[in-house]
Amino acid sequence: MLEGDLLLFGCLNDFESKLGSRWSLAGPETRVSALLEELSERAPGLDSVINTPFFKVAVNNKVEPLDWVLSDGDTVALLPPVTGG
Amino acid sequence: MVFEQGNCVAVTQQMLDVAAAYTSVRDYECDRGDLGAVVVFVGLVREFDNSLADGRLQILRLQHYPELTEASIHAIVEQARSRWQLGGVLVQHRVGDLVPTDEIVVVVVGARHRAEAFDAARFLMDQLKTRVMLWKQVLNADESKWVAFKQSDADAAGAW
Repeated sequence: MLEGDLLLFGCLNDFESKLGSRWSLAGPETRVSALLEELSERAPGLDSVINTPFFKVAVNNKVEPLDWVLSDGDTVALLPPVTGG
Repeated sequence: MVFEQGNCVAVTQQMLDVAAAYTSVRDYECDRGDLGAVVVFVGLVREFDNSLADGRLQILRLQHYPELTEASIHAIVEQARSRWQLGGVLVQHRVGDLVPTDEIVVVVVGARHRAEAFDAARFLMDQLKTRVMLWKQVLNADESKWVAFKQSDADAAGAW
């Protein structure tokens, strides 16, 4: 079992009650994409955000591709399309 | 205001001082005597917001990802420098709770000629809209909504 802190930003704050502040994966698949699938099952509607072209994931404060392999203790941040400026 | 290799980048909860931002870029270049143009862009909080039922915003809340926000601004500033010959460049962005007429963002670009300064300032704003880790939420007494990403912003950033 892998687990770590989960950070939510922007509109994804609305999913905090369903997702909490920790992630976990039982394996054997431990890529970011597998985590996103697991989170989407727990939070209906999340997939509409993570399937947008500008959605990104940061692992330990660095944006990584969806096939990035997670390690135990990683901090995962879900970053919806930005709206600053 | 501190410049490192010609760049001054800040993400802050403090009010932005547009006059001081302009002066700092002007003075940064003064010693070199090669500054011919300074473009200043200021983004403001609008009171009217169509996403709210009554159309009136009381607070604009800006969330950011502290570990990545300034780094992502530095990245687009460096990209601007690779495209144009620039003097001092300043990008300051507010976070936290803002009210109508507050300055959200200030971009100041110094260059030898106006074309580079105008183009680089517009480039920086277009890229900032799609690449910097900031998220807006509009609030009034009755409701709160996260601001939706605009395809027009993506189109503007992609056109460069």
